[in-house]
Amino acid sequence: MANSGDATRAQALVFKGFGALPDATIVWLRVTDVARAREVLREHWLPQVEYGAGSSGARTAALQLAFSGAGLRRLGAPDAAVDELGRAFARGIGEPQRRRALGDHGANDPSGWRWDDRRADVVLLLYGASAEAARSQAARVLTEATGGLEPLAQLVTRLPADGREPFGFRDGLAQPSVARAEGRRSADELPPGEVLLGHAKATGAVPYAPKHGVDGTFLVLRELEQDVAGFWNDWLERSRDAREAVWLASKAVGRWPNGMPVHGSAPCDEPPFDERVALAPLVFRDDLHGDNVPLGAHIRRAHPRDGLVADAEHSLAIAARHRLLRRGRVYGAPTPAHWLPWNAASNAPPQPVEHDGQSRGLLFACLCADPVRQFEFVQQTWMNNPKHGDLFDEVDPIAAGAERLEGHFSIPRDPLRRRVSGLAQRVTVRGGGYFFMPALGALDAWLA
Amino acid sequence: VGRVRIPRDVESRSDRWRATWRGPRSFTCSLPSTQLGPDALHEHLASHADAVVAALAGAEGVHSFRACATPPFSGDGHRSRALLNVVHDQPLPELLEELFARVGEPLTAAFAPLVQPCEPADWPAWLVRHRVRENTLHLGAVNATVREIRADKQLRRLCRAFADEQLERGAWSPATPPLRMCAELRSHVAAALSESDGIAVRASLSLAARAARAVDFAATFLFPAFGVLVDDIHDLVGRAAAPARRALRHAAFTLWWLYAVAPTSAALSAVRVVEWSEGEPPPPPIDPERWARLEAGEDRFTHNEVTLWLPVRDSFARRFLLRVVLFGAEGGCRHLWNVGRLAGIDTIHHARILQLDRGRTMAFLSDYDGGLDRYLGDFLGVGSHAVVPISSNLAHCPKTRWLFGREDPERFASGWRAMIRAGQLETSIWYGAYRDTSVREILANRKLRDTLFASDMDERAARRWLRSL
Repeated sequence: MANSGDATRAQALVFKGFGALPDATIVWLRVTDVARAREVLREHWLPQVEYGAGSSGARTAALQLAFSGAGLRRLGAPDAAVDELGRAFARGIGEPQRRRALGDHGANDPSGWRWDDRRADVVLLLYGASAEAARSQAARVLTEATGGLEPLAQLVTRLPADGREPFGFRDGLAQPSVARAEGRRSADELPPGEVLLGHAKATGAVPYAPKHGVDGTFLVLRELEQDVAGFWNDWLERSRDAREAVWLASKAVGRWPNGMPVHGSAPCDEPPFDERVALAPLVFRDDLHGDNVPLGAHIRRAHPRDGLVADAEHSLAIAARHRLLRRGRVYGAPTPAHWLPWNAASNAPPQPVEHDGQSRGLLFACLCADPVRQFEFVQQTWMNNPKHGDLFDEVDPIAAGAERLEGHFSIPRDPLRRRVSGLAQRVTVRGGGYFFMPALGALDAWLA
Repeated sequence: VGRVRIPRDVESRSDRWRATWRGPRSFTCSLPSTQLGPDALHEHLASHADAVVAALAGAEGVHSFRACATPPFSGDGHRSRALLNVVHDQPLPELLEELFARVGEPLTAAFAPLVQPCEPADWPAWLVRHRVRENTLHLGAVNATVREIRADKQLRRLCRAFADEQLERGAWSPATPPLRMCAELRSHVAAALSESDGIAVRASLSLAARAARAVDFAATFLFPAFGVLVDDIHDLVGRAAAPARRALRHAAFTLWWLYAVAPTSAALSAVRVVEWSEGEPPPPPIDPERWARLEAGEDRFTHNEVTLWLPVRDSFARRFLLRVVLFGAEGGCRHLWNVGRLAGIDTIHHARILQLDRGRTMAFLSDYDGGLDRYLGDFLGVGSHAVVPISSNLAHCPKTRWLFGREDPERFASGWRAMIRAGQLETSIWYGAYRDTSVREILANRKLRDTLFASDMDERAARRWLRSL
């Protein structure tokens, strides 16, 4: 089936994570004057947006832009046109059904969020070569916005040099890319239609996309605050020493902090980093019981690969329908080195970590063609589901929301598993929304 | 409501015969109302939901109970109907007796706007008089009673807690012999549970029941157009573990295929002619406010429900074709999809399909695990070869080819989902006896119990059992 779209019209975030621009300021804005907002978008911001897969060269800044369903309507898009982009997007992430699917209640309830897609109309992603560059770019674009849009929230984010998220684990190792050509793809390449509207998806079909949606993509944003001290205290309390705490947490994540795969069911030391091994695709078909990577481990729930069902090829086909292109970055104060147990003497008795009162976490960002089939499915059916796989009463030990039951996490072992209980919620949602990143020229008619 | 009169012969001989080898059973009735329209009837029924659900909590043999307000049948002179369904373990007379003993008061209050019998004592007869038969009934966990499901779950809980405790206090370690662990678990369970809660291997079907099932199996496969399910039948043949038995099944399968291939081809050709003569159906009207209300009530538990009320394409050929397809699907549910999966979908507890109103409407009632979106995705994916041939006979279903194929694959999914949404009913009353339990869990718990108490457990089996804990 031929594509109906032209990927070079898509915003550049689809093709690259702007790794050369490690600092980024994310700004959520509200339209205050429609005519002026259209002018700001048309005259100032849209011309600055980078499109396509080309190299940014020596650029020191980049801008990407997305709209909420409420924002598109406010800027003049007809209701029917917004509805055509999908019900979840059109109605927003705060709908009761979305909240149930995502586990957004209790501490994660949207009533406590700093921003969401009902209040924010536009989100700007401003990338810079340094924190200063990103900040000054934000100041400039906000000046341009005067009279038309006002900032609702702002978050300064970064790509850490060591690639580790606040809990101390290397992140983004299994990151796919968007295939640029038709035909055979490697396992790490997503069919364009899994990310872009109007292109062939994993099943080969090209789903219908409205004209204003073609070559666009959905950007799912979630501000996830991480209680790093609480997280490590949980594991230290359940361990004889710091070495065992690191092993237990690695089992829960599914990788060692340095990104190496976990093996075996007895506590051991973290193996030295070997890039070839760490970056090799994980294979679960030989680990169906989860002796290496537990069935309930975070990375296995988020992307079960070939280990979802006994038939590995069938499993891969299922997993391929629910993949995401992640573009997240960390925010907040860096994690103090002494909080991380591997910096303690390996045989020292566990010492609880004192919280420093500072906020830190991850701005989860992912791109997909269908937030419900991809992002929500992963959250609801794999991460928050206590019956996932052959499990019965446990959810994702790292990222599940308020429905944590008794906080169980099972580590398979021959003959009888070890079970950790009472794990508290250490990741809290502070904001979230579904946004649409339009392709080049897609919204011209409404912004004229 | 006092003592009720249970009419004689409420169960047919075939119902009783089938119940010897297949349970639970399903009882559905469509009760007319002359007072209220569908929306008002829904409001009224829903206002009694809490009382009915609370009263049902103690009912031993009721898996699920639902009531929804539906439109009336064409030309029947009523304003609406209440669709009532109970999935139950006990024979129908006992169910009716228990239902009115436990839930009589809230139930009669809920049914007040319906066309009623003269005396409360005649309510069971009134329900039976309005009984409608399922054309297709799928059971996820065949022959699992509510009592067993609850007891098996309790057994797993006990085993897990005891194992955790033993590990915690160092009484067990990875070096402890698995057979010793299992023996200690058996003793612990036997002390904690009563015999009726299940501390033994479940009794297998009697010889007579197995013979009855075999007769039904043979009769089902005499239906010549059953060849459309050749893949599933082939899968059934391959399930035999012993090579000799498998070879025998293959031989029987080949003979049967020779018998079925011509009528199946003829039936499919006739279907193709019908499909060719029809145009693309119009998209169904969807009320956005109703859609929002439906979504607000979905996906609340592990085990959820959905009720659909879908018009059939307006032709005799399609009404007849749907009846034939549902007949085939019923055979598939009885003999092919009876190990926890309906055409590969492993999240369905009970699915009931009824062709009502002289074939003009299809009602689909399902109890499933997880989110509705995933469930519908399975219908279009892994289970599509069972679902698409049924839905292709519905008024707003996008066109198909040869019953199974999709004429326009890109638009089929969105059109099909729109049809489902348009036909979805707000369930007014729903009770599920084990809303926190999945089908996979029920089957795994059952296996856990049966294996733990098996007399021939050896070291290898004990090790495997412990891994499944």
